[in-house]
Amino acid sequence: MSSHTSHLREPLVVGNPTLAQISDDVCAPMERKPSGLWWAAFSVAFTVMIIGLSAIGYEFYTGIGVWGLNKTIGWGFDITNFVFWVGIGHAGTLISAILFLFRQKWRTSINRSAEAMTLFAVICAAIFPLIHMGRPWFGMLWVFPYPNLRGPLWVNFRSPLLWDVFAISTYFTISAVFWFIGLIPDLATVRDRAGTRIRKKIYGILSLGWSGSNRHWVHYETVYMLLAGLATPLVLSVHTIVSMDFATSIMPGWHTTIFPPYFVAGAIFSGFAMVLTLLIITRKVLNIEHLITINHLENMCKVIVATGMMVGLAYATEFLIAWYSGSNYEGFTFINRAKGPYAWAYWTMVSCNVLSPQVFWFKKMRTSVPVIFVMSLVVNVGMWFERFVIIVTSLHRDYLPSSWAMYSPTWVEYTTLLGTFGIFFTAFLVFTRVLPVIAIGEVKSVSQFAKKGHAKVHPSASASGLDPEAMTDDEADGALEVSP
Amino acid sequence: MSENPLAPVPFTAPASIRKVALGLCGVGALLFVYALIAEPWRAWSGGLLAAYYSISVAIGAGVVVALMHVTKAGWGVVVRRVPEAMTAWLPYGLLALLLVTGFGMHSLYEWSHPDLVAEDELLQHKSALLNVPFFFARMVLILGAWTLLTRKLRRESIAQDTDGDEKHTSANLRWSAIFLVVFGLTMTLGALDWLMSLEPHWFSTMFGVYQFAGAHVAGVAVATLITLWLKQNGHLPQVTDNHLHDLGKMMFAFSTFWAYIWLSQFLLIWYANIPEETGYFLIREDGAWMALFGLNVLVNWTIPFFVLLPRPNKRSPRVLAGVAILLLCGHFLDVYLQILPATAHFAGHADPHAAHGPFFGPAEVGAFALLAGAFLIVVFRALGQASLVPTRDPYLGESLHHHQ
Repeated sequence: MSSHTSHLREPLVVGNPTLAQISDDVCAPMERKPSGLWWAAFSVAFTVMIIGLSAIGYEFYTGIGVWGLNKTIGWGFDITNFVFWVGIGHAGTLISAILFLFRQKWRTSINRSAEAMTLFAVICAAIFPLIHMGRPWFGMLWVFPYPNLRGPLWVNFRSPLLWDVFAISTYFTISAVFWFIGLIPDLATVRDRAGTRIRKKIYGILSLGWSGSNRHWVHYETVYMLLAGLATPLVLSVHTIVSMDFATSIMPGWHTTIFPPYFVAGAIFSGFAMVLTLLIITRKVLNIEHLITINHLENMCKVIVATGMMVGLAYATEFLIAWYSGSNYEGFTFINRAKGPYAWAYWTMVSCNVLSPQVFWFKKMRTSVPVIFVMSLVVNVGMWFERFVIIVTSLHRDYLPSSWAMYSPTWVEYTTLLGTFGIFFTAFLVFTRVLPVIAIGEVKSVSQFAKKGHAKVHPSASASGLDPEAMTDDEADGALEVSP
Repeated sequence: MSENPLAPVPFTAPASIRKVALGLCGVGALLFVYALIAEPWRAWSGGLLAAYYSISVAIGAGVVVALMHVTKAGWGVVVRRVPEAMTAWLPYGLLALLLVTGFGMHSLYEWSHPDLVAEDELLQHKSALLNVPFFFARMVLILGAWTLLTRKLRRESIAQDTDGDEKHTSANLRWSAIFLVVFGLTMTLGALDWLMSLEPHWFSTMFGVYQFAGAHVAGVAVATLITLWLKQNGHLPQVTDNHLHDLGKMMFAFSTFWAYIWLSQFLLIWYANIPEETGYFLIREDGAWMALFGLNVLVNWTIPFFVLLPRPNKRSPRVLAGVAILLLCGHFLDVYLQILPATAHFAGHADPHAAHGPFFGPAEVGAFALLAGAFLIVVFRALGQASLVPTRDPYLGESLHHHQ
C-alpha cells in the first residue's frame, strides 16, 4: 500500500493491527489448547475417516465387485470422486501461483489454507484410482515405467490414464514444495515464539535455520517466483489431462475438443467453492475475520461467477455442436442427458453450476456470508454432479441397446465417498492446529501498518524480515511481491 | 488521480502515418482488383482473411480493455487508450466483412449453394443455422453488439477526462463484465459462422476458444506495437520499461494459451481419429500445406516463448517489437491456414484444374494491405480524439508509479 495506491482500493487487512498483533492473531490457535468445538469437529471427521478407511479395507479384501459397476457402466463413483477431488485442489495452486503472477495481493490471506486444502484434496483423489486397480499393492509396478523383467512390456505411454499418474504426482510434488517454501518464514516465527523446548526444536528443524536475513529473503523470493512460474502450467495441465481420460475416447459426450479448458474452468470453480466453505468457518472460529475480510470472500465470489459462466458456456457449446454436427450419437447423448433417466442429475448440475451462481452478480449477495456459505455448498454439489453426469450418462446408453443399463451405487461406494470427506476434514483440522493458517509474513507486507512511518517494530516482525522503518515506501509495499 | 492531476496528453497522427496508410490502401486496392479479375475465389478468401484478421485484432483489444476494468488493473492505465482506440475499427470491420461475405458468399461457403445443399443431408440439417439471411443477421448482431459495448467502454473512459467522476470507473467495471459475457457467447457463434462453416461438415467445440486465443494475442501485439511507436516518438513518455514488461508478459502468456488450445484441439482429434473430424487436419497436412502447418506453431508459440522468457527481453523495445511483429505474422498464417485450405478445396470441387498447393500472391496480400491501411487511419484518428493518457482515472497514480 504505497502512497500512490488508488483510494478506491479497499484495505486488505482491516482494523489496522500492528505487525505483532498479526503474528499473535495467526499463531494464537496453535499456542492454545484445542477448544471443545475443535474436538467435536475433529471427533466427527475422524470417525467418518475411520468408517471410510474401513470401507476401503473391505474393498481391498473383497475386490471391487462390491461396487455397483456393471459391464456397461465401468466407471461410476470411483472416477466421479477422483475428478471431483482433483478439481477441488485447483483453487490452491491458482491462488498461490497464478494470482501471484497477476500481483493479486489479496491472495496473501488465503493462499496458505488453500494450498493445504489442495494437498489434502489430491490425497483424497488419489485413493480412487488406487482402489480401482483392484490389487493396489501392485499399483507401483503397474503405473510407473521402470526397467523390468517383463521384457518389452511397458506401461502404455499412449494412455491418458498413465499421463494422469505423471501429471498428478508432479502436481502434488510441486504443490507440496511450494507450500513448504512459503511456510519457512512463518515456521521461523513460530519457532521464535515457542514456549517449550520440544516445540522450539520441531519448528526449528522445519524452518531450516531461517534467520530472516536479507540474503535469505532474496533467495526465498527468487525461489517463490520460480515455483509460481512452474506451478502455473501445472494448474492447467492436471485437469487438462484428467479431461483427456474422457476426451481421447470416441464415446459420445466424452469426446469433444472443448474438454480441456472446460475442465480447468470447472476445477477452479469448484476449488474456490471449497476454499469458501472452509475459510468462512475458519475465519469465524479462529477470530481472523480482520485478516480474511469480506473483501476476500467477495473476490472469491467473483472468481466463482466468472468460472461458472465459462462452464455454462461450455455446456451450451457442447449442446449446440452436438446438434450442429448432425451426429445421431452426439445428439442422442445430449438429449438423453436432459430428458433421459438421469435428467434429475443433469438439471441438478445446471441449476447448481450455471443458474444459482448468477446471484453473485449482485454485491449484496457477494458480501452476505450466509449466502456465500450456502452457495459454496451448492456449487460443490453441482460440480460433483457434473462429473457424475459426464461419466454415467454417457456410459449408460451403449451403442448396443441390449447393453443399456442403470447404475446403482452400493453402500460401499457411498461410504468410501463419505470417508474421503473425513480424511479431508481431519487433515484440515490438524492443519489449523499445527501450522499458521495464514501466511504471516505476506499478510504483514500488505497491511496498512507496513507503510512507512508507522510505529515500532515488534521482535517477531524482524524475525520475518519486515522492518518497515528500514524500507522505502515501495520496498515495504513490494516486500514479498516479487515480480516475474 | 485527483490530487495529482496530469495535463492532457494531446496527439495528432503525423502526416507520415497517413501517407503510409493511404499507400497501403492504394496498393492493396489495386492488387485486390487484379486478383478479383484473375482468380475470384482467391480474392474473396484473401478478403475474408483480411476482414476477419482486422476484426480479431480490434476485438482482442476490446477484451484487453474489459479485462483491465473487471480486474481493476492499476498498472495499465497509461497504455489503455491504445486498445480503446483500436476498438474503433469494429464498425469498419463489420462493413468489410459484410462486403466480402456478401459478394464472395458463393466462392467461400458451400452451404450457400442451394443445389449443393439439396444433395447433402448434413447441410440440410444445418440449414436452420447456415442460411444466407440468418448468417448476415447474426453477423450484424454480433459485430453490432461488440461495436456498441466497446464504444460504451471507450466513451465512459474519455468522459472521465473531463469530469473526473469515479462513477465512470464503476460503470466501466459493470459494462466490461456484461461485454465479456456477451463476447463469450458471440465469439463462439461468430467463429462458427465465419470460419468453421467454411467446411460445413466439420465441427469442433473448441473452435470459438481457439479463435479467442488467437484474437487476444493479436490484439495485445498490435497494442504493443502502437504503444512502442508512441513512446519512441515521444508522444507517450509515461510508458516505462515496467509497462512494456507487462505487455511482454501478456504476449508470452497468451501465446502460450493459444498453443495450449491449439494442442488440445489437435491432440484430441488426432487421438480419436474419427473420419468426420480428422478431415479438417488431413487437408492441412496434405503435401506442401504441411510445412505451413508446422510453421504455425513455431511462429505463434515456440519462438515467442523462448525469446520472451528472459526478463530483459520483455523490457527491451526492440525485442518486444520484433516478437509482436512475429506474432502478427503468425496470426496471419493461423487465419490463412483456417481459410485457404478450405476454400481451395471447395474451389477444387468446382474446377478440377485449380491448383491445390499453398497460395501466396496478390490475392492474399491485396485485401490485407487495403484493410491494414484503413485500420491505421481509423485507429490513429481515434487516438487523436482524446488524451493519450486517461488523466483523471482513479488508478492513474498506480500506473504512473508502476515498477517491478
